[in-house]
Amino acid sequence: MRLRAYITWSDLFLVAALLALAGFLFFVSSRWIVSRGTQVEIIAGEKSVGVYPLDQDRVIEVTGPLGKTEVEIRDGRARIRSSPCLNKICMRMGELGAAGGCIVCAPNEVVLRLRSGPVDGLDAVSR
Amino acid sequence: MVSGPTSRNREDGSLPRPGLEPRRGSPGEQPSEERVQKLARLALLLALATAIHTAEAMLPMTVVWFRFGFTNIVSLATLYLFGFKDALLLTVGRVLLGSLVTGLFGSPAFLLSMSGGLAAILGMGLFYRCCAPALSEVGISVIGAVLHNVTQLGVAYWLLIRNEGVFLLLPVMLAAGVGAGALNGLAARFFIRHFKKITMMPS
Repeated sequence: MRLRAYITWSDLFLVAALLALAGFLFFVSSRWIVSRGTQVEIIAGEKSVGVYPLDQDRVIEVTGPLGKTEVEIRDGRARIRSSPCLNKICMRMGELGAAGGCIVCAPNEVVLRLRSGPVDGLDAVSR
Repeated sequence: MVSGPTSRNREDGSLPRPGLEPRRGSPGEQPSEERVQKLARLALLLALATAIHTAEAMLPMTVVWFRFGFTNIVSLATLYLFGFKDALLLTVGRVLLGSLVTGLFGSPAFLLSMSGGLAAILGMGLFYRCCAPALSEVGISVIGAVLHNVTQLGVAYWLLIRNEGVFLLLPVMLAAGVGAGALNGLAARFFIRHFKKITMMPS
């Protein structure tokens, strides 16, 4: 059975627009999604230095017994940029994103901990 | 649907009953041959859509829960052949029947299927009404598939998984919708032509 496999210009335009939207979202959405509502809490010694949202880039200096530790928030992730400790293990521990976790500089007594914003007042959800 | 007395066919010379004859279009009217034919064809299409829905649900999941959405072929064909109301009924019916057969009636998967299917057929009907000659079956099918996926994602976020990370899947769902929608559109065109040929409907 003969069948004309025609596609109109509107079809092509629609497909192109949707694929462009998909591509755009692909490169942009990870930044949007990951940093929304997530905050990193910085603790020096016993005290909490502050709670900072992940979607704003900044550098925070934390003073500990050994000196100044620089915490950098960039691209929705938090990491320790520089620290006066001996082994610099904290600087190689990676970055905190939406996945959670914590980064610790034990000699300088600095703890980075992830805290997500309140989710509609729910404390926990089980599925 | 339409029911009534079985033999009040005027052409056979049966007794007319003045004052008791139902108006045209009311439920008591004798169903004409065309209406019965249409009913039978719609019923077959519904059965086909349900079968495809069920068979597709049995396909193993390759990546996440992506399906090709072959049932949209039948929905789209019904839209083109019988109009929007019948296509809407077909979609709702095949989700209900399909979920009964697969045993997922009332489960979250049913909710996702129903919301996706409804959004798809509503969108397809809307775009069919407004842009039918400009957008061929491929375009309308793409719209249906994309609306289906996006609505499923939205419903999954809203009612099931309150985690914004769900929307990271959006670009993949869009692309998959475009791809599957295009293929389904071509298949739907073939289906419509063939259906018209074998049922001798006016083309």
